[in-house]
Parts: sequence; C-alpha cells; structure tokens
Amino acid sequence: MPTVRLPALFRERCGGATAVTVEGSTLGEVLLALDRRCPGIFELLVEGGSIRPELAVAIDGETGSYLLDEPVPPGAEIAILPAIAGG
Amino acid sequence: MTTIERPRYQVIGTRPIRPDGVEKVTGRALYGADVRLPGTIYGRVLRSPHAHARILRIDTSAAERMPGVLAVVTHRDLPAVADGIQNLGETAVNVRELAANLLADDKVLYHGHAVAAVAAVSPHLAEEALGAITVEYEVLPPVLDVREAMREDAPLLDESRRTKNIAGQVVGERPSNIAMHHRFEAGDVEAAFAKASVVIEREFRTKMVHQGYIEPQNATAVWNQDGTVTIWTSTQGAFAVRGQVAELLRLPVSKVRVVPMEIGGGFGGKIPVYLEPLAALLSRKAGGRPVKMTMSRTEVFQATGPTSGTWIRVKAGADAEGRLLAVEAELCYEAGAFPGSSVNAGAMCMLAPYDVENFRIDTYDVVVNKPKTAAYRAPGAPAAAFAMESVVDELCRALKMDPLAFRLKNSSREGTRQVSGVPFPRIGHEECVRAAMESDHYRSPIEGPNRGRGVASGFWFNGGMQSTVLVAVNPDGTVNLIEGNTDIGGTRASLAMQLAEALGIPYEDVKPFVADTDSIGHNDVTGGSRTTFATGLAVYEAAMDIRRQMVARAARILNLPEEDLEYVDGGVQSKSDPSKRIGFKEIARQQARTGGPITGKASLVARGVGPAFSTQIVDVEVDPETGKVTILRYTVVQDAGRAIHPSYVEGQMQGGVAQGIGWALHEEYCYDEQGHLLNANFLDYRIPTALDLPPIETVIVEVPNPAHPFGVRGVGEVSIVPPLAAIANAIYDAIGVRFTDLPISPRRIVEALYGGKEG
Amino acid sequence: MAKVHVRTEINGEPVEFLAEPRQSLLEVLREELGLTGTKEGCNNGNCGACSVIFDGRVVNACCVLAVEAEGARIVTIEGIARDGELHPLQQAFLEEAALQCGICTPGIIVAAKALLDREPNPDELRVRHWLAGNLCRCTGYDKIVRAVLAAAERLQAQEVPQR
Ligand code: FES
Ligand code: FES
Repeated sequence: MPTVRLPALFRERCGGATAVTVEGSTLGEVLLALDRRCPGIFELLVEGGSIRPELAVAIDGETGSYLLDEPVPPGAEIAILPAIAGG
Repeated sequence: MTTIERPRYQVIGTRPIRPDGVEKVTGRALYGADVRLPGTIYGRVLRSPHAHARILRIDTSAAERMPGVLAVVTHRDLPAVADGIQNLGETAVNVRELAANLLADDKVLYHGHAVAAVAAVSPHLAEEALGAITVEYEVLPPVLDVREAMREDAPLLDESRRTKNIAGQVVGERPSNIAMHHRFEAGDVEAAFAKASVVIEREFRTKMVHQGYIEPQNATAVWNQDGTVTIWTSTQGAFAVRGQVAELLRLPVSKVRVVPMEIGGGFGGKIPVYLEPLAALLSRKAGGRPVKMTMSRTEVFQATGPTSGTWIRVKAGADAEGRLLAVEAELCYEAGAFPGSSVNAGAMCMLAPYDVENFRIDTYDVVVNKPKTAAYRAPGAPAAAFAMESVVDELCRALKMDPLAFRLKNSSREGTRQVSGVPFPRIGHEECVRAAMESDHYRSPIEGPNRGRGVASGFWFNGGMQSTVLVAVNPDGTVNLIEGNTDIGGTRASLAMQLAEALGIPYEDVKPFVADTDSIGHNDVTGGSRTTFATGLAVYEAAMDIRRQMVARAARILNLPEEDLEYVDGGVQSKSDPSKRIGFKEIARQQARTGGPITGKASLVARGVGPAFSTQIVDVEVDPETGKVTILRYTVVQDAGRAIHPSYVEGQMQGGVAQGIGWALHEEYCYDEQGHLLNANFLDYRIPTALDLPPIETVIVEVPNPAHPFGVRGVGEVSIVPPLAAIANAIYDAIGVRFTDLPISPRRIVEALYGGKEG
Repeated sequence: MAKVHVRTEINGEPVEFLAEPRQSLLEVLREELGLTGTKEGCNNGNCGACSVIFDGRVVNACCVLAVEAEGARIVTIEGIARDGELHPLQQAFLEEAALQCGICTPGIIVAAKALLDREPNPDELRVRHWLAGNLCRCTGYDKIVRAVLAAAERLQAQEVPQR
C-alpha cells in the first residue's frame, strides 16, 4: 500500500503522524483514503479536481504536476511539498 | 531509458561554434529593442515617487490633449481580472496581483510602481506627456525590512491579507504582512542538540539584489484589426508571456502571438511581464499602431525582479566526531509588494548537501514596500546557503576539522531524504567535494597576512517541465531543428549537438531555429536549468522518430525488409550484410520519391530531473586600510551530469560565480527611510567589472543523470549558490571577523576592524 | 524642436542625418539609421554596451550628442568585419565562447578593437583594465579576456607576413 509523507503543519490533522499508509491505486484514491484517516486533508490539497498549483507532489521521488488519475504503484511513497520555481 | 550504445561521443563534449554566433558578434542579431516596424509609436510609464501611498485621483486629460500623444492607460483600462492562479510552468502567479503590479490599483506599494502609461509619436514626447499627468497621493508610512514587516504593529500593505499555509488556507486571524508560513520538520531536534558537542547559532541578513541583466526589459506590440495581438519581446518564455498577456487582457491564448527576440540576459527576471500588456493596450487605444516600449536602467532596478532581502537564523549541532546531528532554522524572505518569495526553495536547498536526520525549518514569506521579487538564478538558495554554510564553517573550526572533510563525511547521496521527504536520485555532491579536495587550488597553500581561504557547497533542483521540438530533414541532408526555447547562453548549440549526436550527423548540418508561439507546441521557459536537459530529451525523442522513418525509407530504396535494417552511425544498414548501407544524406535526397518529407517531432513533460551540486574554493586578501577584498583565486567545481558543450558549461559556472561575488561584496538595494531606492543605476549598484574578478577556474564533474540518454542534469543555476558563504568564510580566515550581513562592503570591513562593531 | 543637419562618416561611408539637439548619438544610430548593433544597457555611461569608436577613441554613444558627430569618423560594430571577413576579435569570441546572451558583445568587441589598434600586445591585466567600463553579467569575463588575448596574438601573427 502507498505511504503518504505529510508536511509538518498538516500532521496535526493526522494525529501527529509524519507518514500514513493507505489504500489506493491512483493519486486521487490515495488522497481520498488519506482524507478518511485525516479528515479535511483532501480539500486542503485538491482544488477544482486537481492538486493546488502552490503544491507539488512527488511519487517515488519524481516531483511533478500530476492529475488525480495518476497511477500509484503499490508500496509507492508520496510526498507533498511546496511548488518551486527556477530562474 | 535506453541510451545510444556509443562508447565515445562524436559531437557531445566538443566545443563547436554556436549557430547564432556570427550574428551576435557582428551586431546583426535582433534583440527586443531592435524591432522596428513601420508606423511605430513609443510608450513610456509613469511611476510612483512614493513607496506606499493611496491613489486619490489620476487626471490624464492634459496628457491626452497633447498633440502627438495617441494613447494613455491606467489600471481602469485593464480588463477586470478576477483572483486566479495561472500556472506559468515556473511561477504560479496570482493574476489579480500581477495586474496590480502592472498598473497600480488603489494603492502604490513601492517606489517606481507603475501608475499610468502613455504612447506618443516620439519617445521624448511620451516622456513629456508623463509630466502632464496629475496623480494625487495620500502618502502612507512604508515598511521596508522583513523583520519590521513581521511585527504586529507594522504598517500593512494590504489590510485584507492573512497568513496562509502552503495550501492557501488561512492560518492567521489578524491582518498581517506575513503571507505564508510553512515548516519542514523531521526527527527529534531537541534530543539531537542535547547530544551535540558543538552547537553554533547565528543570525544572518542579506539585502535585495538584482539579476542585473544588461538588456533592459522591452516590448513592441500591435493590436491588429482582427482582434489578435502580436508581441515582439526579449523573454525567457514566449509561452509564459502569451499566457500572462492572455490572462491579463482576457483574451484566448490563440489570439496572442508572441515572437521571442534574442534576449540580453534574464537569470529568472525575464519571466514575468511588465511592458507587454501595456504596449498591447496602448496599441489598441492608438488604433492599432505598433507601440514600442523599453525600460530605462532606473526603471529596471525600481520595478523589475530583485530577489529577496532576508533574515535567517540557523542553529546547528555536531558531535565530537564531526557528524551533523541537528539543524534548526528560521527563514524570513522579503517577497516585495506582493507575496511569492522563494523562501521554501531556500529551505529545501540549505540542507541538501548534508545527510541530517533532525531538523526544523520555519519559513515566512513577507510583503514589504519594495518591488515584487522575481526568480533569480537558483531562487531562494544563495541566501539560505550563505547562512548554513557559514555555520558549518564555524562548526568545522570548533571541531578543528577540514571543512571539505566535514562535508564529505556528512554528504547526502542517492537515497538521502531531502527536507521535503523526497529521497535523492543519483547525485554528485560527494564527487564534487572530492574533486575540490584534489584540485590544485585546494592543495596549494595560502600564505601571507590578511589572506584566507573559504569553501562552501550549494544545491539546486534543476527543472523538467514541457518541451516541444520539430525536426525537418532537408533534401541536402541537413536538418532544421525548430524549438521554442529562447537562447540565453548557448542552448541552440547544446540542442543542435544532441540532435547531431543522436542522428550521427555533423553538428554543422543542424540548423536550430527558435519559433514563435504560433509555430510550435508549448515550451516552458528557458529557466530552471531545464533547457539542455528537458528540451534535449525532446530533441532525442524527435531524433528517434527520424531514425525510424529513415529505416523505413531505406527499406524501400535498398529493397530489404525493415526488420533486417538498423540505424547505425548516420545511416541505415542491413543487419545480415552491413555492406548494404545507405547514408543519411542519400536517404534525405530521395525523400520526395520514397514517401515525401521526413519530419520528426516530440512533445513531452520531462521526467527524471537530475539535481545539481557545486563546491567552491576561494582565496581572498583583505586590505585592512581600505576594507577592499581582492579575490586572489577562485575554483568552481560542479556536477554537470554530462557537459554537452563544455565551454558553455564553464561559462555558466563562471557567470554564476561572478554574480555570487557581486552579491557577497558589493551589491545591495539601498533605501532611504521613506522607501526611495537610492542606487537605481549601474554606477551606484556595482556589479563586478573585468577588473574585480580573477580568472575563474572550473572543474566539471560528470555524474551522469541516469534518466537522460546523454546524462544531462542542467548547469545554469547552482554555481551562484556557494559563493556568498565561501567568500564570508575566506574573509573570516583572513582577518578573523565573521560577517553575517551582506554585502561585506569595504565600509563594513573597516567598521568591523576599527569601529568596534561586529560585522 | 528644430532639427540639425549633421554630416559624418560611419563605418567608412559618408552619412547625413537630421537630429534634434537633445538626441544622443546612440538614439540616432539605433532609431534613425537602423544601426541596432550598438546596444543600450543604461543610457548614462555606466555599462559600455553602446561603445563606438569616435575619431579613434572609444566613447559611450549614449553620452555623445548626435550633433557632435558633425565631421567625425565613427566605427560601430557593423563596421568591424571587413569585406565579408570576420575580424580576428570576432573569430576569437566565437571560438572561445566569450559570449552568452551576447548583448554586451558588440560594445566589448568595439572597445577591444580600439585597444588592439593602439596596443597590439596587451597583457591580461591591461585587458581587464581597458574593459572595466564594459559590463557583462553573463560570463564572469574569463572567456572574454581570453578571447581578446587570443585575438591579439592572431593579429600579431598576421602582421608579420604582411611586412
Ligand atoms: S548604454 Fe551607454 S554606457 Fe550603457
Ligand atoms: S554575454 Fe550577456 S551580458 Fe555579456
């Protein structure tokens, strides 16, 4: 099952956990499953059906702007981080 | 990803002449300000003399009545733009704020904030017309410093602003200039500090500095009679300009065509639009006349791109063996008049050279009455690295440990978790540190009074994002490489070389061409060190497309089944009988008869970005009389993954170092108490001259990026990250004074040595 | 504003133009005469992007009034290559990769030519000194200085057989 690593300030919604392992085979499923454990977190991360533009998601180390139907391999590690810009 | 089985490259790693070189050394290359269209009129911008004021009234009627003045615009002429975030690939921009920065709404928020724009038949007349515009202001107290702006009683730039988290959710109850707060945290910081035998805690300050590109912003726009808009401009991203202009003017992107001209430097500062929408609006009001706008140098300093001034606190602890145990930090970055500094990038870069399990980093994005910051080469990283790498230097001194040995011992490597929680792919920090240790520079002693040596490491993510390329094979066997990334520092060469290598044809046979936004699919900006990597990936894929077609054509010409054919060394040959072979040029010549034009294309979102590290060594001499710091010797070591054109890789390494030296020693935005920028010119804002710099020695490390067929990482940005700390560390080594504020100007040095004041 | 009739020589050719007294030579070169190879970086004498050779001396064209060009002989970047042949400085800039964005390049090549015209064999420090008024933000100057030194060498090698 995929594991989601949470940014520090979102951890209080998940009882202080730094990472949560949940079911799901797409990014959307994983985040909905996460929301059942940590209520409200889906809405925090997703706006209008996609990840908020201020945020980036890394799936197994690959940071990108993923759609919610992005397949998530079993055992994948997902991290949520601020989006960054280059010069 | 498969790589071409080629033990040695034919083109990659050589140093050919860049395709656009002759035009640029003869003065023929056309930059944005060189655009000349029949019937052109000239636009100028009226700017605020105040740092913070309410606009009570703007009267443009006298200016409008002047003969030869054809158009005047203010914020009212901008189509109402609702709050909305538009993803520019590089920078998420709040469009409402972009509009308010373009032309002030009800308030001006910094000295130089645009208030109105005029177009007239001559630039001088336009300038005179600005003087005929009356603006009544109610002047408000400004707040100029990040720490001041964070106080509860600070003047507010926007009474409705509340502090938000990174997901845009309001977390503060009271109005505040702190636009965002975030925290990166792992491990048990307090417990780790308790185990440390050395703990160092310091506070650092850096001032706003500017990208300092030599070419000022410019734009020429025509609002055509059919409702389309054409814009010629010097930009890092034609598609980013198209997107911003369309959003700001409420046009579909298809009605905006952006023609990227040659660009005279950007370093991140030529991603946001400043003039393009104004020129378009003025053109519409002036009945479709072309409107040309160029900024003066003063305007460039006052109103475009600086990077944040910062206040940073770092506390770091190590055990007696020199293991870095814990880091705690607070990063406060000035965003300028609107939110959006690179503070989180700074936090994600500062610990990247290290494998440290316990950390807590708090980040604050803070608005102040200074220009809205823009990206500047590895945005956010240099100031954070200045703080961290200075504290590491102190740890090493306390531990009596060689600073490079400390970095090697604690180095991050593949699998090390970044502060974001994301594990590193294959990276080359250890290799950089080792190469620095083995360099002639580090092995040579530094001797003499007031001389010292410093080192530092730095990190940058590098970028991927979207790229498109088209490749067309000409009947004479040359190929056109059509791409959408403006060439700021040799990317036509680095892309053409990758295409030549992938096709096995001579570099001279590739003709790169940068297309406008109507002529090619989307390309994200030339920025984030992405072009040679990401557009290079697209070039490689397009080459594979061409190779497949070449095999099919060869099958017809040679009358052999395709399965028996393979593409080898710039030609197609039979697997069973390699003597049956036909060259690229011959297939190209026969394309009309074998199925028509051969064209390849690739569009992609580049995955597998390879991050970059740099480790740098500097020797300085401080003149205790005058406070002047002379750079005696400088070596920059950097992991390029693979250097496609080593000369241009070296150029990026040297250029970043030069900017870092300026940042460390001279450059700063100076304001008076009312918030007037005092040094908005190249005389008083001192960027390094040829006389200020030594030859900058380069050591290219190549730890190939496994996700790129040639191993490319990206080289544009990371070299600016280490110099600030490396120089401060060298100055400490020379005179025993630890400077925690930048720039380390002669005045500060003299004060520190004789004025009884610390740095 | 009444315009002044100016007769001058640019890149070996006689040129006449009308200029307002307030117009700089840079503005007339770029906007009136279409010689856009001379660049504007600051318009106040601090960057050298507008360097031209004026009666044998390097000047910042932004700090010269157009009317001062009366009777002068001016060389701009467009006049550095001769008879379709690149000047050795231009060739050296290409080979040494001495330009990135290239906006400073015309001014630096013009200034360097003025140096080599009067001092065919400068050392590195002299080159750095001479070019201290020409800002480049991209390169860190290392490759620029190398290119000027390489061009000097090449020019000297060319001189010998001619004599
Ligand atoms: S434009 Fe003339 S010196 Fe800068
Ligand atoms: S090459 Fe860009 S300023 Fe010199």
